[in-house]
Amino acid sequence: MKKILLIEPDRVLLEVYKEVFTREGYKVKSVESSSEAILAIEDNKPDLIIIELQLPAHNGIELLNELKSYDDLHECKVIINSIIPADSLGMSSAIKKAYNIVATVYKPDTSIEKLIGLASAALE
Amino acid sequence: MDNSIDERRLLTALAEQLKLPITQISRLVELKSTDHELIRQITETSEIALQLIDGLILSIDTKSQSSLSLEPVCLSGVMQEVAEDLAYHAKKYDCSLEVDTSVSMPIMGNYKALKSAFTTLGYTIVQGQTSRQSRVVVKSYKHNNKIYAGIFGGEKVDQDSFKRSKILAGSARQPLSKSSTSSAGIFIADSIFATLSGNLSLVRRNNMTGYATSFVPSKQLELV
Repeated sequence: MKKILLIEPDRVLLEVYKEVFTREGYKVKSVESSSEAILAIEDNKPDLIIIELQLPAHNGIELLNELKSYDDLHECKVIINSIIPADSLGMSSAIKKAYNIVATVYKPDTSIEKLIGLASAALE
Repeated sequence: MDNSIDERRLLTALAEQLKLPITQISRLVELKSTDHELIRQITETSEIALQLIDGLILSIDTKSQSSLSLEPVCLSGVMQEVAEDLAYHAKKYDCSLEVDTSVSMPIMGNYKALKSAFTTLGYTIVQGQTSRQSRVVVKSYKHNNKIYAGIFGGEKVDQDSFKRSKILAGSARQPLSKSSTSSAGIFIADSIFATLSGNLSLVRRNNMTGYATSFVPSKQLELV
């Protein structure tokens, strides 16, 4: 069973995404912050991380930078699902490749169906 | 600290914060409901709310910058996309929505700002319809060596009422008395266009009145 780590600071959305991906047959771990994410990853390496960049204390980019140093996460894909519009992020293809980012979506515009599709494609 | 800067900052912060509950509504309905039509209604309505918020944030941002970055834009492409975004709402408000962008004209503009401005303008016009089965046209055309683009149809407004409404926007509940709403989308669009091309004007074309802005065509882009 593929494992997804959801990093989402809003509890309402976190529960929605958790329920949705669990129904789709994934093993889901959900956390609300970077520090919780690091602890979760140490327990159980995910196959996919779905992350909001605007996180409390340490933002998503700082977390992705930290995770880059983990040898056993090189195969782990990342989907950015953020309240920050994708075109404001100014992420080059080189940066996306370096962080293994397979998709960057604007959360308000991204339906559950679309997010499931992206996750499924990433985990094929 | 200048009060107007404080207010702009507060407004921007509020606008950003509002995106979250609107997104929550959309996703909760998707999760909890099996009624596809209800899901569609709520997600389309939420999307237009988010468009209005993003348009507001953009118009505030453009006030604090001197201009937006420009790029070659296919105006007719933008208008087509705007019409697609408005299609569901037009149907909901019993309007027929048409697109008239038969001339393909490249301009120097800002795609995101243009799309945001025309969508918020279009939604406000569609939503402000009082008669049934009215006609709204998303249009761009060439006239006197300029390219005009705008949304036509809707309640007829005269120049004086439009000028007055710009002064009343934000302080009167109905700056355009023929509309029951604050008509915010018109003023947000006006604010965005002011930094791109020029303020919105009330124009008349083919027996229809509408709000439009004008661009100077780029001869270099036409050659490409």
